[in-house]
Amino acid sequence: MSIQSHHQALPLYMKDVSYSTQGVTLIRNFSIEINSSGTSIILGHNGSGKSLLLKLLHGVIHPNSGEILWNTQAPSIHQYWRTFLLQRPTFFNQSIEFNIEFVLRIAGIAKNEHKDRCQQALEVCGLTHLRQRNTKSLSGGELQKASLARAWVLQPSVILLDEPTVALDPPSMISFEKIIRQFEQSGTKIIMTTHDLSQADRLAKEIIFIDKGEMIEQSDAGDFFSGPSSDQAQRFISGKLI
Amino acid sequence: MSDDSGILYTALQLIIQLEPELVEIVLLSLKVSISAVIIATLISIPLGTVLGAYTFRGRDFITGVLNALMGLPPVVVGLALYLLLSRSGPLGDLELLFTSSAMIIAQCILITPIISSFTQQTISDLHNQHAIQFKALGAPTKLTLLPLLRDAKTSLFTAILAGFGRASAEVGAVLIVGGNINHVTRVMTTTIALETSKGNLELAMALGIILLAISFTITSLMIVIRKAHTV
Repeated sequence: MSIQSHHQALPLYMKDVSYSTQGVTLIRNFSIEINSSGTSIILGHNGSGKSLLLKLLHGVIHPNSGEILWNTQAPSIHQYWRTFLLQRPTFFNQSIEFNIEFVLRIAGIAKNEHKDRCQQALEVCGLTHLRQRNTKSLSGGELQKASLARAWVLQPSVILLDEPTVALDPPSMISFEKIIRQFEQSGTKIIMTTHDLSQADRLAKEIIFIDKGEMIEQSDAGDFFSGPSSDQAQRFISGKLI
Repeated sequence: MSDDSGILYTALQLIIQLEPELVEIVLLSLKVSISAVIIATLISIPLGTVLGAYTFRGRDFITGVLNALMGLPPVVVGLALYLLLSRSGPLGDLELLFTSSAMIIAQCILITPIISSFTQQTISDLHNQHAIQFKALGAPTKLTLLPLLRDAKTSLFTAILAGFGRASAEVGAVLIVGGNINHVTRVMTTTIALETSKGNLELAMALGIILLAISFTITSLMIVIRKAHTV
């Protein structure tokens, strides 16, 4: 099996998607269409449903109603052309290289490609010198980069990132963002959640603003930051970082 | 010198001089317990891993049975095995009663639930810790098992040592199915019981010291392993 590295992932459609658990509706009649390349940032308060939205897009959880389509395919966790970075990634208590290679084994990549792919992913993420280090001994920033390398090794068409820099210090965050930009420039679609307005301003081509599980606004990043069309987004911006 | 210190002195002499009867009993004890631990480990690690990593119908029932068996009275195991292996029993033709094989089977039955339950708990905890990550990576459970077992090796080794400790200290079941026959099925625990009742306290004391030493060694090993794997 080979990775569909040039899979036609977009457009992405969400039509009237709702998700409830334990009697509480967390995502409500959510509809969206993402066509653009570049980085789409999902903005919103803590608890607005950003992480859930990414999980729905990836297929980790399934909606109670509505439809999600990546071009023509419903999401499934076994679509390796799309990778997902969790806010708090976990690793085996082994070397970074082992953890990255594990993903290649899952995706069924031929063994003779493993070494080159690992090398490339480590290099892009600036982790070559740490390849043999146990993940237990890595800092938060190094762990997030290792998570990024683990996602990048599959050469995905789309990377979903759930607040990946929330626990990083400014230098680590900037270093992380540089790598994201490199991925974007190589043609990979980035869909990322954050509540950090300045980060959204630095990275986004498009902003999707959500509140209480509902889609409020989807607009070009420049337009959004110069004057959002919704009251909620205006209040969010005026609060700066919430 | 009091009587007690005289017994202790003679017991230590028996150990230092490697008295042949004592050595024979210790070696047979180790052979029986190590064999039981190897067989129990070969059964328990796969069983505990499957129970810890997969959800399937009947899992809770098997887990419940294993937990209940952890507290199984050894004499009951000995009695059940005796009935199975006795000449008139369903497995009588195997002629295993009053052999070291029967003792291995008895110890194996007693420690398999312990190692299985430890394994299940360890793998289950690790699997839960990675559950969302595995989903996000699209990792099928079967591919996660070997890496999880590697991560769990310290805990699993501790479980195996605990099983060995339980096996080597066992007396009731091995006495019933082994018969405590001199030079054939006489192990440390059964000899201690027998020699104490006969008033031959020196040999009983010597074996007691060795048994204690084994127990301390196991405990120390557990601590060293745990420390070595804690960053």
